[in-house]
Amino acid sequence: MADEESKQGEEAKPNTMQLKVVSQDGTEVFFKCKPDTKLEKLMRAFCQRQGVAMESVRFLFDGNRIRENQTPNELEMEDGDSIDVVVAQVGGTPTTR
Amino acid sequence: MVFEDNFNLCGHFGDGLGHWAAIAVYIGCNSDYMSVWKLDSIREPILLSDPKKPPDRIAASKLAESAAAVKSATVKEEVTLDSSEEVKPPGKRAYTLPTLTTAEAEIVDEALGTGNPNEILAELRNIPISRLDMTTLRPGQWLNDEVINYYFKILEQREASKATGPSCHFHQTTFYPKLAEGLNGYQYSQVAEWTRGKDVFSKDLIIVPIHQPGHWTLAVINMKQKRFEYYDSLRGPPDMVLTNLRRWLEDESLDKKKVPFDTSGWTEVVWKQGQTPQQRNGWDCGMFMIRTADYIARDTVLSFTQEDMELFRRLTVLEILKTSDTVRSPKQACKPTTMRIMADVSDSEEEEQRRTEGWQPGDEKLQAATVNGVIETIMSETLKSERDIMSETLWEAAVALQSSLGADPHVPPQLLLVPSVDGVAKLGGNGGKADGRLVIFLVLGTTKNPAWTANNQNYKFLGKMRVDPHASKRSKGTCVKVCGGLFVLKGFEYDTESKQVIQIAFLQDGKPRMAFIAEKSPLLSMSMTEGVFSTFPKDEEIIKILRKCVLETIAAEAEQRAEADRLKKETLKSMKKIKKSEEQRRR
Repeated sequence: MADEESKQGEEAKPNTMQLKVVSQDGTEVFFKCKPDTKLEKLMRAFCQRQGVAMESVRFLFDGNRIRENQTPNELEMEDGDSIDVVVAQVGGTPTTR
Repeated sequence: MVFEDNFNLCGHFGDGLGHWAAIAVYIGCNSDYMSVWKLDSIREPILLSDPKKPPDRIAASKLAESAAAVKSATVKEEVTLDSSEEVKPPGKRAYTLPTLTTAEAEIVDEALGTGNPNEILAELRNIPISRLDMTTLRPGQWLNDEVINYYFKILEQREASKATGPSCHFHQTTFYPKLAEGLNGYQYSQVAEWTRGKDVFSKDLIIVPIHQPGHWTLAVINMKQKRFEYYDSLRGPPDMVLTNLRRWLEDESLDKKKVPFDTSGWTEVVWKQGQTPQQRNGWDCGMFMIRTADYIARDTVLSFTQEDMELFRRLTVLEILKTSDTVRSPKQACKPTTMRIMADVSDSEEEEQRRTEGWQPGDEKLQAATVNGVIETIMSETLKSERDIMSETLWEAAVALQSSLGADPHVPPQLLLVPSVDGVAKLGGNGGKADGRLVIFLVLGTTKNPAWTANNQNYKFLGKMRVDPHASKRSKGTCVKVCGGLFVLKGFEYDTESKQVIQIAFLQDGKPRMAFIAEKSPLLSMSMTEGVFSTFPKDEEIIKILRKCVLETIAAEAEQRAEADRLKKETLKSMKKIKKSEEQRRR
């Protein structure tokens, strides 16, 4: 943590960053957050806004799963980066759609 | 096969597994239009022509031509599968399945057992497996993306640590939808970053899990053989999958290597029965998919069959638990139930105690009487007015049934009544949210769907399901009982958005079949007529069976509750003892 803070100081990073959450249908929702805030806040806000359950969606950054307790700093996210959100999938036999 | 009169069958073939496909020409009732359909026993019919176009002789002859062309093409495809013996999926070595030791079996049973659904049983590279995710590995359950992605991570780890065998790149289940199923269709840029720092061109195999609606299949880019391969345990069409992967490979080269990659000499292979193992039910496709990936990555022959799936499911549970990268002692792995309750107690001991003590296994006779009353109400009400099943009486009956099941007040059950499979399923209850609640449903009625009316009979059944909170739109359940003796129902799918039972999987004469229930199905909308909500006679036998299965459901639930209750009480007691002794020691 201390390491990151000093890094922040060096690069004079702004206090907030903008992150984009992109749904499968192309919808984009923008969030402003602090680089050391847990992403759980963003995820919850997104789910609440979209009216979906947290368990029914997965958040990805560059194709990798991200978890609630991670922070943008930890994931080396930059201002304007986008987080993909995909819905849970189940399968057993082909269905109608 | 029995068809509606106005279906003219041009040709059909079965595969001996209970699946069949056919080309049919549909002529409208007044001969005002005709259309060509490809029918398939396990898939929605595919329209090969436009039924809306006004009929004329040229169009009609063209349609007939195209029907004939499709027929010959499909038949040819059938023929080529049998003759293409020299081409085989990769994998040369033989593999003998391990068996579970008693201790391992216990661990597996515990992980598959009941408990807090949100409890995380394992975690690997940020992919958590909750107890609820684990339940998708129970026999008869559909696998979800968490389990599959976790398993692919296991394969990835194994691949990284071994010295021999093919080198593989594993994609996640989210890769293909992101690449090809966005609003604008194929878009390489969507996944360009996903392989940053990875050289997929240095691999022998690129393994891609594919999620079709409700179905898992596998695509493999065989870099050595220069082949795009498709493995479907139900022999479905790959649609655009192989074409899109070809495009992706070319784009990947342009993006990462800055040079064009020529795939013009590469072939596309869709493995058929005899080449890739086939499922014989409506739920094991996920298992077939991950095991195909497993075997290919091991360089072993795809020798497993449907019979191995039960063991595979258990082995998968064990592998998941063993590979977890979170700290979790084996003791914890064996006794999470107790751990969980202890945690609950520390949170709010009093409330927990109140809840535990407040639950009383109700008077059985009273319960039985309530159930009988409920069923009779449902039956008479349904008979009185099938169109108006949301009547107050029925609603009250639903509430009564819900309480008679002794349901957990935190997850109130719903009664789902389906007046007719051809009609829209209506819900007698509020919500319909995917929140893990219990849904009891009752289907009564007749249908004209040819898949159902082979014996021209009505069917009635009662089933129960839990809405899967992990499925945002669709959910599935298991039917507990068959009424009428016509079908052995194996499962069904429920759309939480439209609140409809979408389709039902059942065994008919020992063969797996699917029936689509939603109105969306073109086959249904074609064969559906007004007045399908016909009344049918009160059937004493059916009522008897319904009553029996409601009682059985109640008994089973009560047993489970009693067991959970006993466990909780025991833990509470021991907790109190520990606390007392601690206090005494302190004094």
